[in-house]
Amino acid sequence: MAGEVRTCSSCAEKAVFVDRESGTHLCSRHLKESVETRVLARILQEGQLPGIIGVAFSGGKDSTALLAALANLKEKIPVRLIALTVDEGINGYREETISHAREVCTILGVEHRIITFSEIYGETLDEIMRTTNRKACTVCGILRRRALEVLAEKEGIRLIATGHNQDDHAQTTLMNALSADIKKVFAGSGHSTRFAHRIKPFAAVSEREASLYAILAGLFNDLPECPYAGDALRGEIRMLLNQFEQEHPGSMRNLAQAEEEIRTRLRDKVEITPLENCRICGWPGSGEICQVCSLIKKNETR
Amino acid sequence: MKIFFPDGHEEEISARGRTIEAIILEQGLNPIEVLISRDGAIIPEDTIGIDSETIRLIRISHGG
Repeated sequence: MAGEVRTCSSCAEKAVFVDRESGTHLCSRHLKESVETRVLARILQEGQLPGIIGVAFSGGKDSTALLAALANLKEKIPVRLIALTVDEGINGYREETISHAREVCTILGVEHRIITFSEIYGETLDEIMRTTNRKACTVCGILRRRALEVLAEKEGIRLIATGHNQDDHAQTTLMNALSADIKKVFAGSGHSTRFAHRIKPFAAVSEREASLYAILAGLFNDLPECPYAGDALRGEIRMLLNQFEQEHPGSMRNLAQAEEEIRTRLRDKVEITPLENCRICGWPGSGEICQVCSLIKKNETR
Repeated sequence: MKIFFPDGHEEEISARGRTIEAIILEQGLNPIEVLISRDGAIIPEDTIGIDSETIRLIRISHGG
């Protein structure tokens, strides 16, 4: 017996997605169009675009979907795309994701550059983690952000698109609220001409839509989870918000939008500490010694 | 209906005219965190399940 078929609300094709809030069904073509429309709108908010957009590309589902969406929008966004991958050096995990990343770039015809932690810091993340008590996600976040900047600078890239989606934004909003530290809303907002500007084209695209986009593009691969994944608070918040979204559709989007609203309203009220150039490496950071050098230096003295 | 779960196990579950969303919820999974594949094609979770069919749940939301 053939299974029941839901049809698209915009055409007669089979639906692949239901917007749980409106009850609207979308087929593959209309779902892709819907995602690309939101991505395009976000990018056009930037005004004049540089000649190259770097795409932070881990090879995971979100950055894969983003790269595919940007590649599909090349007629509307006529810039050179370069996928930027940071190989942190995580044994038993990164080999497969890097291999997937290479394959995706070949399929999409997008230039691909890879930089490793070993090249920049002289050690892999695995090696660094043997000599620090700090959380792996914190260490990796600090070092990966710099690695991406180093790679972007090397390639002359002034604009980096990241795959953060609506769900990520909603989680961050709630985490910031729980910490009651308003300044966290402005984390990473310190201005420096050396840093590439960052945009989040998936800010209004849910994790579900991004994953579906990657599947429909034939690029989804159920890759292994990072062995260091374990930001306990974010994991709990994710589960809580997913439950909330299931019971109250639209909650995730509202919370993600709240982050932008808070940032806009507080922009002139919160004093952002100006960045200083690190005494050791010369990169901009908060304080005389940047977070990267503090971390590496502490490691060296152990 | 036969369901292949993200952790690899499979189960035969009576659909009883319910949506796949309701069936997934009953199994203790959040439908938000999976996509549903039937015969290699993705279908929305409000599709009514049928006992003779097989579906596969694809996990999209990882913990941590």
